[in-house]
Amino acid sequence: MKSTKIIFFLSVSLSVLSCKKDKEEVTEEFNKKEMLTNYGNNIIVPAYEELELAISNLENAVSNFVSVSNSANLQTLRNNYLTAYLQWQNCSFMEFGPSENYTLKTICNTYPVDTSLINSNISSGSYVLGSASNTTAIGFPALDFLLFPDSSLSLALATINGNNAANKKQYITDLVQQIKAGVNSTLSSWRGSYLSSFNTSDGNGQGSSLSEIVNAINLDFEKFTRDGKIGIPLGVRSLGTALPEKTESFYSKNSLILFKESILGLKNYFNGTSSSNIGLDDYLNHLNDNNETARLSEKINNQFDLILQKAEVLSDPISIAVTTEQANVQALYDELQKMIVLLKVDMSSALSVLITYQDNDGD
Amino acid sequence: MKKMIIAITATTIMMASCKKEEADTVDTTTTSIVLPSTYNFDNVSYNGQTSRLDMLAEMTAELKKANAGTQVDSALLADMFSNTGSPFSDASLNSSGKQLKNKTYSSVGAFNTDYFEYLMKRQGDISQYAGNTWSAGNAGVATSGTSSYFFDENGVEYTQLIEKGLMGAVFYYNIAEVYTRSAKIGAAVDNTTVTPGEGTDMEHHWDEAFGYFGAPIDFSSTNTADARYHAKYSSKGQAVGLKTTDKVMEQFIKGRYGITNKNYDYRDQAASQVRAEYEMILVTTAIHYLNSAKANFADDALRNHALSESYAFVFSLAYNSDKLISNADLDLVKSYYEVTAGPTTIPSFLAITVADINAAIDKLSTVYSLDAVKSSL
Repeated sequence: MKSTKIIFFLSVSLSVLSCKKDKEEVTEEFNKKEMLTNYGNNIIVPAYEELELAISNLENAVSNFVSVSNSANLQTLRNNYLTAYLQWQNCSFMEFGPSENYTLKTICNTYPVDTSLINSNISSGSYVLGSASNTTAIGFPALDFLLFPDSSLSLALATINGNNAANKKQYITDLVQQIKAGVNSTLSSWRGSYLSSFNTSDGNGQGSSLSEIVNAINLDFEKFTRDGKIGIPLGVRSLGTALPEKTESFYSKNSLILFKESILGLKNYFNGTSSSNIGLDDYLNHLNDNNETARLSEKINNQFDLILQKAEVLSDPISIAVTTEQANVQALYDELQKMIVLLKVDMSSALSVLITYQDNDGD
Repeated sequence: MKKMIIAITATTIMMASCKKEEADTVDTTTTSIVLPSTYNFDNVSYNGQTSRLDMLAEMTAELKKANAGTQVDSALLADMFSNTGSPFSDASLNSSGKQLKNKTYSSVGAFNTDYFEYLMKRQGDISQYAGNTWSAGNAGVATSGTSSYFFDENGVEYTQLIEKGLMGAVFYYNIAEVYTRSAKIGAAVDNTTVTPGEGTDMEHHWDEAFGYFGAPIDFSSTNTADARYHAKYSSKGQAVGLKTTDKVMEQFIKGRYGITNKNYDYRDQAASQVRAEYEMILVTTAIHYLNSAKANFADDALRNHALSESYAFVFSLAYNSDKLISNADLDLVKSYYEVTAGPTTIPSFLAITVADINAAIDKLSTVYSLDAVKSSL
């Protein structure tokens, strides 16, 4: 009898030991599901809800302007347009899952627009906004072009009410409807089955929620923030020749405030800012417990602040600054570049997440 | 006694829970026999297949000249296709006695020899505009970052339709319909007389199937060097946990092992399994490129390139009479690419929408039970 007992205990403890080997020897486990739930419930869904509300206000403003096309209604329309565009900046880095499925970023914010394509769509009155050939004639950038033909409100109103006025207003209406449909589809997928699977998919492999978050942040930051908002207008892809017309919100000249909003939004997102506040920063701190003197989360937060400081220096919209304050824009670009190293190399490796987005496989 | 049983049960449960974290490696049907880990058998030979793989590489290089703004020589392409008049820069190919054309699917019901010859001719004709920038309705080169692609007026990249298409109409077709079928590996085929360097007829036929895969003999998910063509694309399914690379390789090894050891159950299981697993390479790659088209929807160069790739992988599914997808469903998926009329049987990507792309992905993922991984591919 005794010997059986001993064998029992031995074998059990042996198998327990061999199980433990696979896990990390951390005293306190980080609750990844809690972090993901914070992102899903308290940050991502509310961000799309706020966008939905802003689009709904924009839709009303369009409808009022179409019925009474006066300068007061145009001003309200422009204000609501800017509010919605600002809120989009807080959603741009969440392009995975439902938003990726509906290509929300392409629908909302593809620029520069092809103004001759927009004009020909308007004059023909015949177009499918969702088709591949119209991706440069839609979204906030197309609204930017149509609502700001002139910075002066009265001159802009005269232009909008001029040639092809009815078709133009129909086009503006259709643009907002397309954005609305994309946001609504995204939100209803999130409210459906996606949220619970997102909150509980707590691995770090391809397709896990952490991998989706980290890849979406990096893709957005590298291609759309560093390159799209700053680098391309500055001329980093054109041998130093500035390309101001490629700036975001070129016609309404809101590029700088949109840029700042996107950096602030991403900083909050990184820190999981909400009622419960558990974000990537906490997860990094947890993994980095032994190295409190040089925490990666602090480096990243400091770099966000540095980027914002460099942006504060600029006095003009980016489209003008790339020629009048070229050195300052370059300094801002350099800080964005440094952030890529922190996010794409240091953060992804600390979190053991593989960067999976690549433009193509070279063939 | 009771205690003993409890002890044993408890231990087993513990062990079972430990095992969960390991990959399940052993197929129950193969527990008695341990298959070789590589395609290293006596008398393996598939020089003819290697030659054709190399020929397609030279054709692709000629096709891609259009990407750099140079007109493509369609007469040279036609000569390369039929290996006429020493068209290849690799002289050993010219004297190999092999060609792609007479191994290309040539009947009805799927894109055949005529289709590919038409595409080659047209690539030569329209690449006179390779110096132009592409725009909807005008053939030319579209660029994104460091990548440039030549498209026809409808955004279609013939290079992909021809290269990936011939991978289907030659490589996959010969694996799925010729070398894994009874005419080549059935009871009437000699599996006794060994030709030095080539094995028995039956062994040689199976080796020829393997030769079309594009894999080194020690290819695996952890040893992917020098893989090309479909072997290379097996990484898409492998990356999302479908083990595509390892499964295809395992079936090729199992079939050759079965033939060499006259274990014909193994041979027959492997013949049907290799077709099924190989089909997964095509469908996972097709979905991968559809996702890429969506992710780059606003980028003409990347979107049209990805759509061209995916279209060729989709139509290649047809070259296997045991394919999982029905002809009706396959036509439906193809129809999403053909939303406006291009030239006969050539798609147009100008009017495609994200909804079309999603519909194509959803149909494929439903048929092939890939819903769980479709967005990660």
